[in-house]
Formats: sequence, structure tokens, C-alpha cells
Amino acid sequence: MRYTRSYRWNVVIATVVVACLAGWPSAAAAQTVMGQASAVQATVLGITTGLADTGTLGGITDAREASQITGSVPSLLTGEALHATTIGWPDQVASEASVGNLNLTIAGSGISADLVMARAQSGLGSAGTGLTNIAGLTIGGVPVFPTGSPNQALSLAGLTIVLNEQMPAAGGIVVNALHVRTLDGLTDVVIGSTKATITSSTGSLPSLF
Amino acid sequence: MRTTISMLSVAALVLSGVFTTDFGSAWAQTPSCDFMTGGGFIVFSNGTHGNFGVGGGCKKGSPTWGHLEYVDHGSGLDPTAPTPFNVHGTGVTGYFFVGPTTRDVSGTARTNDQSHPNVNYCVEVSDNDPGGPDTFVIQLTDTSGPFYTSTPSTVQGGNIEIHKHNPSNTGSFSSGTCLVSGGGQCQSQSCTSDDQCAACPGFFCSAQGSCQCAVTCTSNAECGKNNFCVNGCCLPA
Repeated sequence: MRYTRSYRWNVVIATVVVACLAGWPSAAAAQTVMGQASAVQATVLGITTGLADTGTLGGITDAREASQITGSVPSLLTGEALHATTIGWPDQVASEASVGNLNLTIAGSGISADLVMARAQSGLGSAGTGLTNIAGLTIGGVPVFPTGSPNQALSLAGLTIVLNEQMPAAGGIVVNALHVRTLDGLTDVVIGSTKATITSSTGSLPSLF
Repeated sequence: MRTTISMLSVAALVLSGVFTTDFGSAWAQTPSCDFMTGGGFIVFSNGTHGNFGVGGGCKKGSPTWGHLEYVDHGSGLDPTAPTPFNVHGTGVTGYFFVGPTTRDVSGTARTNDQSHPNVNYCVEVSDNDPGGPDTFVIQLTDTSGPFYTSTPSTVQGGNIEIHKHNPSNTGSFSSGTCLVSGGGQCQSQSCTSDDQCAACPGFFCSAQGSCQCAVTCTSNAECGKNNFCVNGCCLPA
């Protein structure tokens, strides 16, 4: 009789332990990730057009993609081999977007490039990192060589141009390879737009083992 | 009873996330499936560009994640193709582990070449940076076999990235590779001198009158330091 009662208590205790652990938020499930990539984001007179846009990453087990063989925004730009991806992991997020053979005409100025590419990556507990590749860039017919430094600003009449634009975000970074705006704000074009952030809500949870 | 409690304890450990190892990868030789992404361009020997955007991977149990966009601006590799020659992927059929830094992705595609409107594609990429240049090769096949294999392969602008395994990669790599070994069209090209094989780097004109690869391979590792396996043939970086 005594032994029987002891076994029953063991089973009850073990069951409670399993139930508690099953309900315990695991490290992976507690991460909040945000990722998105688009080859082109263009806003003209308040109307935004996205080309090869992945949409928002759904979580740590999601991987999203978008691509187009060619893309255009009438009277503004054309590009080809547009490509965008965003991938989540329990401990990081990576987003990337690229456009080939870009031809952009904005405020009367021509901007072209063989390739514009942005990459954003964020790891849990570390600052986000951004990388851009811009090849064969010409602005107003003049070759421009990116320095590689973040947020390289260029001056051109009527325009604000930023190469390798990097903006910190909570738990990560936003990277825009090429960002062009008219001074009046009516036209805003981003070529290669990527975002990657990851935050954890389990930092203060005690370790079980 | 002890057995029951032990089993419950193991279940508890698994549920708590202590055991997060992918048992399939731990016990098998083939690594867990992953993702590959890339965008950029290659430069053909005549100076024209081949622009690409590509992705591949195993998501939700099968190697069907990915895409391909490719634009050839005048390589002449497909004599019937217009310029630009567009290849738009319509589906992914395979994702292959070729080597630690090399992946193949295969799929179906539409082109604007009326002689080859519907094709199968195989893209082989290597993520070699920062130690060396990334590479990109695309091979197009129709019912008569490979009719287009891009060379050279060095990515002149852009990047290839092989990403680590993700929990959604519940599928496995496809077996083998999709690239036709031995250089595809290069291998069958007739010649009378090495010059006629110049479009296929690493190939020479054999005594049999066809272009032959000097050193065949299936992965970069077989080509030694500072060499790359392209089209099944070892090439210098």
C-alpha cells in the first residue's frame, strides 16, 4: 500500500514537471523577428510602388522571397533581375535585395547602375550589420565611386542622394543601398531596401538546467 | 515505473528545448538543408553582362524554395536568343549540396528565345568570400540537352550567400548535382586547335578533335587552393 502511494506521487510529480516544461516559453519561441526586403520602393505624389517586395517575415521559421525579370515605375525607373529575400532564424535575421541594370530619371537627372544591392543582418544581442554593393554607378552621366562608408551623401541640384544608407532600428538595422529624394519630398525612391531586426523577451528568464 | 519516469524526463528535456540538435544532421553525413541567396552579374569574354538574382533552399519539407531571374546582354552563347536574353524561373525542382561552399539549384523557366521558350535551368553558385570571388554558372537545358552554359563564372558585382540551416528547412538536399558534368556544351564542341576552346576556360583541344577539360571535378575542394570547380572543370581564380 505504501509503495503504491509512492509510485502514484512520482507519476503526479513527473506529469506536473512535464506540463510545466511544455508550457515554459522556450528560447526560440520567445524571439521577435522582423525582416523585409524589396528591390524597389518608390513613392511619387503619395503613391508607393514596391517591386520584388518580400512582405514582412512571419517569424523565426519563415523565409520569404520575391523576384521579377524586369520591373519599372512609369516615367521614373527601370531595372532587371530584381531579387529580394528575407530569412529568419531563432538567433538572427538576414535580408537582401538587388537590382541589375538600373536606369532612374528623377527631377531631370539620370542615375544608372550596373548593380545595386543591399544586405541587412541582425543577430540576437548584437548590433545589426549592413552591406551594399553598387557597381557602375553614374549620376548625371558622371561616374560615381561609392566610398563604402555608411550614409554617403551626394549633392545634386534638386535631389538628396544617400549611398549605403544605414539606420539603426530596435534590435537591428535598416539598410538602403541607394536612396534618392527630391527636395520637395514629392518623390522618394529606394533601390535595394532591407530590414533585419531581432529582439528577445526571455533575457530575464532563469535557466532551468 | 522508473522507465516511465525516465521517458517523461526525456520528454521534458526535449520540450524545454535543451535538445535542439537536428538528429538527422547529427547522425547522417549530409548536412542539414539550408538557404542560398544571391544577386549580381558576371562579365562575358566580349564584355557584356549577365545579370542575375537567385535563391534556393528547403522550406517546409521540400527543396522548392527559391527563384531565378537572369538576363544575358549579348554573350552569344545561345545563337538563337534575342538580346537581351531573359530567363525567368517558374519553379524550383531541386536544391543540391555540392560542397561546403557550393550549391546547385534547379528549376523550370520561361525565356524570350522562341527556339527555347521553356527550359530547365541549373544554377551552380559558390560562396567563396572573403577568401576568393563568388561564382555563378547557369546552364539551360531543353529536350535536346544542355544548349547554354555561361562562362566565365566569377561574380564581378554582387554577392552569393549560403545561409545556415533554418528550423523551416525540414526537407533534405536533392541528391547529386544538376549541372551536367564535364562542361556541358564545352565538352562536345568540336575543334582543331586550343583557340577554338577559348570560350570554355580550362578546356583544351584533344587529339579526338573535341574540347576537353584538363582537370575534371565536382567541387572546389578537388581543384586545390585558389582554383574553382566550374562546369565540372577546375579553373584558376
